[in-house]
Amino acid sequence: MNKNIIIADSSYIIYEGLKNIISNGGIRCNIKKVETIEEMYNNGVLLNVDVVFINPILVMNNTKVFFKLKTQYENINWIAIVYAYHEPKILSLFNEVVTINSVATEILNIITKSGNKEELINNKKAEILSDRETDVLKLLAMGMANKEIADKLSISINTVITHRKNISQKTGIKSLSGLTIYAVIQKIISL
Amino acid sequence: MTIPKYINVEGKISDIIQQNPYLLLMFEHFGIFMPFLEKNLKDVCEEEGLNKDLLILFINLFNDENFKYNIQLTSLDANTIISYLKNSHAYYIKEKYPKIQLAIKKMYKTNNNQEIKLVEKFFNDYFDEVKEHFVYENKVVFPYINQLLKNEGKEIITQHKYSVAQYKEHHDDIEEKLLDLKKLLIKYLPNQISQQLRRELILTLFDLEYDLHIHSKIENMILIPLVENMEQNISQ
Repeated sequence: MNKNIIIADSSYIIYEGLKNIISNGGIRCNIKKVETIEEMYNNGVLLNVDVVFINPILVMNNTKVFFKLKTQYENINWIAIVYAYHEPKILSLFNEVVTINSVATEILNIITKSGNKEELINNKKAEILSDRETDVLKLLAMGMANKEIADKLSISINTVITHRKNISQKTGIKSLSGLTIYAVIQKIISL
Repeated sequence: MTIPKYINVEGKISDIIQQNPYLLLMFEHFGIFMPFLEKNLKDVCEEEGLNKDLLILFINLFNDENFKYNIQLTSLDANTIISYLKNSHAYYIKEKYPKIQLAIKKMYKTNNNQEIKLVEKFFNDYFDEVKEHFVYENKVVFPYINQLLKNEGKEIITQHKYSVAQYKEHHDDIEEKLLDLKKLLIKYLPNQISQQLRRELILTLFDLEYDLHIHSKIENMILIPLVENMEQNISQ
């Protein structure tokens, strides 16, 4: 799953630096830059976001708005980016703090553990083919066309196509010939 | 023209290679060979009569596939790009793919496993498709562009009712089956296969994937728009 990350800081250097650390860390993600807290208040900006890195300065005169956002989006991990002195009272508003001296692994760990944990578990389970998908794969590997498979299993062609898409997504293999080898390895068909 | 980030003409080739060894292949396809001695980009561009902006653009693309540029390229550059692409086709067909073919054969020899036999067939079929694709580019697309360049354009377009847009359509994704092969090797093929041969093969596939990826970027992002522009100018 891609992580959705927001960097709320007006500094270009901070934004590019964080972005670099995150992409070099091999985390698949979408990163968006915002410069004010109001921008985050706009509809949809925070939807499905996992982590927000935010300069405490943006929060200082807007604590009410920030509080509202925090309660509304409780799954988001709110991280303060600190490179100047801030009152402990302000810093305590955030889930965690990274400073200008933080090392890459600290930042990457924060991102990896953010986000929906159930999703991770589901993701792992999802890689096992369902019985119906196995049936479809078997017939595909035997060289049957979508229409023949649909007739044989008494389902619509569209359903066959959907199954096929899911099979490719779960196995990571897209070509028919690649899927056939997969089916042999998994002993779904034998030669 | 935007000033490309990171790379400039004073940059020594040996330093550039240190940062990204994949560029060895790129220089080779431009006809720039080792030893590089103390040469910088400016030197080799003068020696080889290359457009330095084009060379820097290629280097930047290899270093960052999402590199944005707005350099005005000319028909002269189209010639250079075509010769670059032809050289890399020759490299794929004569060197890289046969090397992979051999590696799979070796895996089968050390372990008569029927799954590897299937992988071998999978790869050979795929290699045939790739060859066909390159032959099409060499025999149909590039000669067509060459004729456009020689200003025989208008007749060519009306005569053949051909345009580079068709090339775009024909430009199948040869990266997909490569990804499948990698997945099979990394995730699924049973453990009796020699770890060493398997690892070597996977790393070779990663090299190829990277190079092919930039290769199709060059075709889709640089060559095709350039030729489309030429077609439009001729038609007007």
